[in-house]
Amino acid sequence: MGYSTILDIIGSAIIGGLIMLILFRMSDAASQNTYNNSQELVVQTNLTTLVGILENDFRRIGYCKLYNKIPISNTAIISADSTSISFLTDVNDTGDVDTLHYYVGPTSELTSTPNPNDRLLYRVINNETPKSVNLGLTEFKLLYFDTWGDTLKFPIATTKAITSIQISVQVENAEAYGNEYVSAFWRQIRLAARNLTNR
Amino acid sequence: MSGKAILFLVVGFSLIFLVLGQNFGRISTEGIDNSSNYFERTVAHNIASSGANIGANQIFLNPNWTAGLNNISFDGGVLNVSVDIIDAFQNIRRVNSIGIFKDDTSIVQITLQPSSFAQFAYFSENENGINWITGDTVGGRFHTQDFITSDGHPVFIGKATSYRGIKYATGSKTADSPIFDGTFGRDSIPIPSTSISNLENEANINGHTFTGNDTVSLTFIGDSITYTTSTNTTTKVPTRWGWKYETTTTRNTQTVLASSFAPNGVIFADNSVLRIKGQVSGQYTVGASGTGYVDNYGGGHGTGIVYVDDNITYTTDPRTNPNSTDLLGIVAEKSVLVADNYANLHDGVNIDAAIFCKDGGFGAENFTSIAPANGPINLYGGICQQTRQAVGLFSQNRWTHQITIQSGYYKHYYYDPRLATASPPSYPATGKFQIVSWYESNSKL
Repeated sequence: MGYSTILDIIGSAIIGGLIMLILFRMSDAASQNTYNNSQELVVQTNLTTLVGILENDFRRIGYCKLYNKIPISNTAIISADSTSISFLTDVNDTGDVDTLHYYVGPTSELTSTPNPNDRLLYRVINNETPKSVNLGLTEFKLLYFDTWGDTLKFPIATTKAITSIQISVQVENAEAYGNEYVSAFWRQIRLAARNLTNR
Repeated sequence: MSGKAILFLVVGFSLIFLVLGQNFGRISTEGIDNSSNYFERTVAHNIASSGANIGANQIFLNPNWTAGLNNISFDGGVLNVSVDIIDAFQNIRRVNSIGIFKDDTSIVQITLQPSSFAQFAYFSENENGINWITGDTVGGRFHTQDFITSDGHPVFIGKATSYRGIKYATGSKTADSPIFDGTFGRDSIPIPSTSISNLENEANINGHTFTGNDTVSLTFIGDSITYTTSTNTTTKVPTRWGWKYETTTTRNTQTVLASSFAPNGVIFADNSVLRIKGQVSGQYTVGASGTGYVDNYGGGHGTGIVYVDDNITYTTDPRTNPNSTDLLGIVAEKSVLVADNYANLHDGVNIDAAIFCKDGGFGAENFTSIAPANGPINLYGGICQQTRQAVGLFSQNRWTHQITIQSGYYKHYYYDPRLATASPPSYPATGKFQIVSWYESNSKL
């Protein structure tokens, strides 16, 4: 074993080491990409699920199968705030008037997830125990408009003036790879619950 | 040896990239699926909503339209619209619109019922130059065929429509903008010329029609009605100096069970004056036709005028019991007047009713000359009138702006919300349908 052999061994160790480093880096990057992409999918799925529920419920503001039970339809919104809303509807299309209340909980409520911004969205039917859903919600903002399309300022003096609503929702994943949280955002510019303007 | 290692390395990397590639491919496919599913659901919903609007418009143009639309290509999908008559007696119809896009289906169902004038908290064809001022509040559906002339900031709580639009009393939109707590839009809803004859026909069919009387007085006493008919007969009698005309009045008073007297709830006085008071139990519409008129001082002359002689209220008060089914419609070919008498001026008058005046308005008899009443007109219902009328004269202090009544009544008018969907029997209709319910649902095929 000569001098050149030692050089070969050292050289191959260096090259092997570099390759190993590249491989580790590649593996890490691949894991991150795989994780982020799958989280993006999860976040996107969560968002479309959430949006489906919201659209379904919000379009039925003021609806009742037995419509005589809500004679003045623009009284259907009981209270409206930037992060909560309570309204009359008929959740299961049974002809009974239900009160549906949406609101978000504080971020401190979800300490079990590393994401410091996610919070629970509560959907409460009548006086039932509040049911929350953790879909990684980080933003739930409502904006209300009157018959002229003008934005109603908070606090809203009379909910009867509301004719359309802007809903903004942002969802993030519960755990990030590093500090990069994946997010998806959805906004319904003007959701007009048709029953609000019937009568 | 090194060749094998390279082979393992290449195969190994290939496998890793294959797995990663497949994973990335699946993720992006599902991501696109999410996006396209939402898009498809939205398009299906838009198609169904469009179908519902098309159906409603067809019924607006032709109230008897039931043909529907079958498999119409629309926005890349398919549209089906059908019309069901879900209550033939009340003529309540449902438009079912189904929008299909790819494998998503959206359903929109809208329910329409004939639009009754009872739904209006306030309706007029002619505002008679009277402004809506700060402090005025209309608590339900509002419509005028005239301008809404706004002087200050009147409040319209329900849906408001006007044929001619909004006029600002001082020309300043800022100073005179009305506050619409509901929606505002332009619409034309004229009073149909047949509104009185239709009511009389209903009275002839299964209600009660008084004919050949000068005055008919109705007193509602729960389940019963006491009515008095007065007929004036003028005869020429000889005197020592020649001839003179003498008028004799024949009166006939009876008490009857209201439900047997007018099974369909419509009581009509043909070409007569109608006077009413009492406490109503059940659902009734009383009306009078004629050719009379009301002068500028509130004086009623001739027939077709309904006078409210005293309180006319519901037996079960809907303000304390929203399940009350008592309903009253007061329909006049000319006007409805609060009678100039002690009972009304003594402590005001309470009226629970939907009021309709085809050619006149709701006002107070002799409002310019009577003393200030000791109580207001408490109206719980709604007013539809051809021309807006006054119930009192008021003066405003130049410096304090305090308003003082000079004659007549203060107004306390409140809308009966039950009238938004219910109406007294055979109450005049607008001849159009109104949407009373809008239902939306999505589903996968």
